[in-house]
Amino acid sequence: MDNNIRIIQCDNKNINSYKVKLLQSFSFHSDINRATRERGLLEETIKLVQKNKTILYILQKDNIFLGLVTLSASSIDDAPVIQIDYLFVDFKYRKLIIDKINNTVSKYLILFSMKISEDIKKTIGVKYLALYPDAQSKKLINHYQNIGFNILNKEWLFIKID
Amino acid sequence: MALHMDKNGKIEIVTPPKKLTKEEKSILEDSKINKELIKQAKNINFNIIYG
Repeated sequence: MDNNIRIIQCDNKNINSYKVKLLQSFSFHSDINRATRERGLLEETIKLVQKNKTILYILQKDNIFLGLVTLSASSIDDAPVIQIDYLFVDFKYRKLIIDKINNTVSKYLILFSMKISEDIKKTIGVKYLALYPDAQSKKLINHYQNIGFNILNKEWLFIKID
Repeated sequence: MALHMDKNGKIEIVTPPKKLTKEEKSILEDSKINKELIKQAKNINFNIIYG
């Protein structure tokens, strides 16, 4: 692992140190409506971290924020799941294979979420990793399917881990 | 608690379904463990910091 690649863990105790940088350093979509949407969801996500309802992980390379993922515990029916609350990739780095991680940012963050789920699985029961694709975009759903997610219904995707 | 923004820009929290249909339950339970993805994830030494 190259030391220039790191994942910064943020909870309600340290999120305020990163809040401004998160909102100012990321590039959002070139379409103004989509950019407003992405920024709004990021602002709300930060609020959820402040309330300790989710934990945020920022992927950083050479001091540049490439993307982030937030995770929390939930359930589908009676099955315990780790839920990806929000996955965001800086607009400049979307679909790019990033040097040193040999993956796209989104794939890397999903693999990271899998690793966290695997670690949690050792101590408490977890059956699936669940994801709600933003805006229910077909393109995005196809993207996640290509990574390995299964479609549960019109809204939710999942990966079985146990 | 994933976030969803509707067409009017209103953000709401969405949670996974608490009651599945028979078909959904079967999709969930009959799916295979994604061993390949788990293997890939385990092979990465993530450098996690807190600060």
